[in-house]
Amino acid sequence: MIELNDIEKAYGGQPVLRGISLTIPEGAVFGLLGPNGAGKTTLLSILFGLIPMDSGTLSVKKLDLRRELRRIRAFMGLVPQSLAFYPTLSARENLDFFASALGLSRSERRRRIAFCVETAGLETWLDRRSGLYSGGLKRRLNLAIGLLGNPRILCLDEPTIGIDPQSRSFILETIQWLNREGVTVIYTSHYMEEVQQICTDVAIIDEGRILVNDSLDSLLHNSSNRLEIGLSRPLPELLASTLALTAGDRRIRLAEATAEEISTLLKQLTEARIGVEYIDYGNRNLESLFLELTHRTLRD
Amino acid sequence: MPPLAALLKKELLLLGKDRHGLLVLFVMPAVFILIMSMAMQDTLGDQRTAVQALIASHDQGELANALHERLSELDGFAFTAVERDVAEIRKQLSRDEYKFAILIPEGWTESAETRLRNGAPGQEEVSLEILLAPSVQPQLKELVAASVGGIVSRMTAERMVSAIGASMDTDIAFIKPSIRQQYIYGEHSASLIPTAVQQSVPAWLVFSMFFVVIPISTAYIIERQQGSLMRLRVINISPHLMLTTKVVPYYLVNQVQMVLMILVGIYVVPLLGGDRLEMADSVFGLLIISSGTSIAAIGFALLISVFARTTVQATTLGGISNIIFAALGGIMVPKFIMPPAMQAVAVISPMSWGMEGFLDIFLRHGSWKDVLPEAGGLVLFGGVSLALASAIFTRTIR
Repeated sequence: MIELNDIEKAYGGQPVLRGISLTIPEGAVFGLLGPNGAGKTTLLSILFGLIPMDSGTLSVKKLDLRRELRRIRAFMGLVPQSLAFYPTLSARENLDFFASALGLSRSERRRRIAFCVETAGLETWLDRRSGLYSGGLKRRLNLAIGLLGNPRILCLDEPTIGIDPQSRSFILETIQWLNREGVTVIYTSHYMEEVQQICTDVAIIDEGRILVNDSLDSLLHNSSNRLEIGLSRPLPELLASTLALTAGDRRIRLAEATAEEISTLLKQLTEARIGVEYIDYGNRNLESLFLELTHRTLRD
Repeated sequence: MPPLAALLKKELLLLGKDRHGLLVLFVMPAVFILIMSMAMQDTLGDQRTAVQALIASHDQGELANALHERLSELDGFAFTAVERDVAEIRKQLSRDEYKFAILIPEGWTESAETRLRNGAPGQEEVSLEILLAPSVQPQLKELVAASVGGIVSRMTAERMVSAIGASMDTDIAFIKPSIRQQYIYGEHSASLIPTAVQQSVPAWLVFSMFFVVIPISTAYIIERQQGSLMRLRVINISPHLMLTTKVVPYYLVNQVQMVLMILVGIYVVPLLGGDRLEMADSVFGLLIISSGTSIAAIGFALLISVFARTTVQATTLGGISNIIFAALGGIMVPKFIMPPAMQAVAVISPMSWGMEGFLDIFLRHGSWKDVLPEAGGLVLFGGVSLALASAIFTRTIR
């Protein structure tokens, strides 16, 4: 279990994290979401001891980060967003180097490399220069290196950027398999459907604050009265003002709607000769929740 | 395999696959040495800056006094008249305090007048002697000989014309003065003449050793940008270890550079018609000064690497710094033709220390003890650069 309590961090007097408190349950696939500049990378850097926190406490498996950083790092693995390996070396050379840098014995090194090669599906490409790999293959090598230390907590920072659907699906399935094998996963991504597909728990962070932190099921189903109606043409001004909505929209979204309100609304649309393309009631997807919480303002 | 060995192996692998970097490190200096050795072979330089020289006259004859006077008026040279013995003058030259000394031996006036009277030298001709410091380049040597010879010829001709009694069919060849030139090398035999290659190899070797800044900084910045260094950090590899393991492979590269450049001087330059490089007496001294130069070059390269944000910044900053170090340090322009103010500034360039150390071995035939001051300065410079680089790296790695 990872516990973060009231973590604060500022750069040059500018707060980046403002009292972050989180619990990441053991065995979870924990989605850490947020727009660009929300503070995700800073939080991950603190988690791996790359930068110090200004205040607060952080413990991993009850070990205090400030005192036991080396021990904590020993059971954590990182798959960074960047392709963190040597493009002039082959996959075999890269894996051998990082395994050696971890201090693994020769037999352990062989065993771990074989496992990671198989897990990431790299068998046929082992001896080719890794800089010449396709985007998907590079991402898989990046993942394989992160698994070399047999981590019990694996942190993946946008591991599926810029790859084809096949490789993406392979990586997501691999993450789910690793989780079934007992690995706790911390996953950041801007692809909401991915997070919705694999995560058991989610935290949404923005402007250095946690907006929500709950299990995915609770987040998506705790608002059963939410309504969304797709329209055949833009909403006319008169009807828009009657409904207190925006003229010109082709979608009506209400956070709460009773059955009676829905019936009235549909009647008004019929009278205004506006067709209904779809009705979505009582469901919510992660993307709509994310946009609701973080608003639509563009970020730097 | 322990992490230290893994990091060293990785550096060697990366270096081995960096063909462009290796090309810069090995081919560039070889080409420089070939070009500069050939270019300096026969060319007379334009010596406009006053060259410091000694004049010691042990002859009180009329001609000797006139020669002394005219030499003092010679443009481009600053003569200091001394009455020291030859041994003391030799010491000053071997220490490069003066570039050359003109010795007018006792009896020179009489010998010259005998020659004038008889149209041929007497049985025991007394010659002017020019002693040269080891760092004097061939073009300066020729210039000195030509200048002194010209004055003596003119003086002799003037005397011949004024003394109408001289035989008109006197062989004009006697006007050609008798001058002996000799290089002075510390304790060593004075028979060895420094050649263009003898001076080019140390200069361009030091320059090329400092060029490790290009492959080191490029490799380092790519590692940093791609997150490999951060990845190593999260598996508990210390930033100091990451940096210091870069020293060993490039130290080896520098030593291979030295061996190759010496081989170029010995075997390739003569094939193209140049002089052969004479190997140094003190191989241990050579190892000490090349190690010092290498440590300075690598430390400086790592400092540039952690300071620069992009590879373009690093190669520009590193390349320009090297060219400034080289220009200041006497690699591109020999120090002795620089104005005194520039010569004083030259000592701030670590390339100058490296080159002086190599010249101690190759030209002055010094021992390993002679290069200790230069090597010590270089190691200190490299150590301070490395410590600064390590401090910046530890603070900035994310």
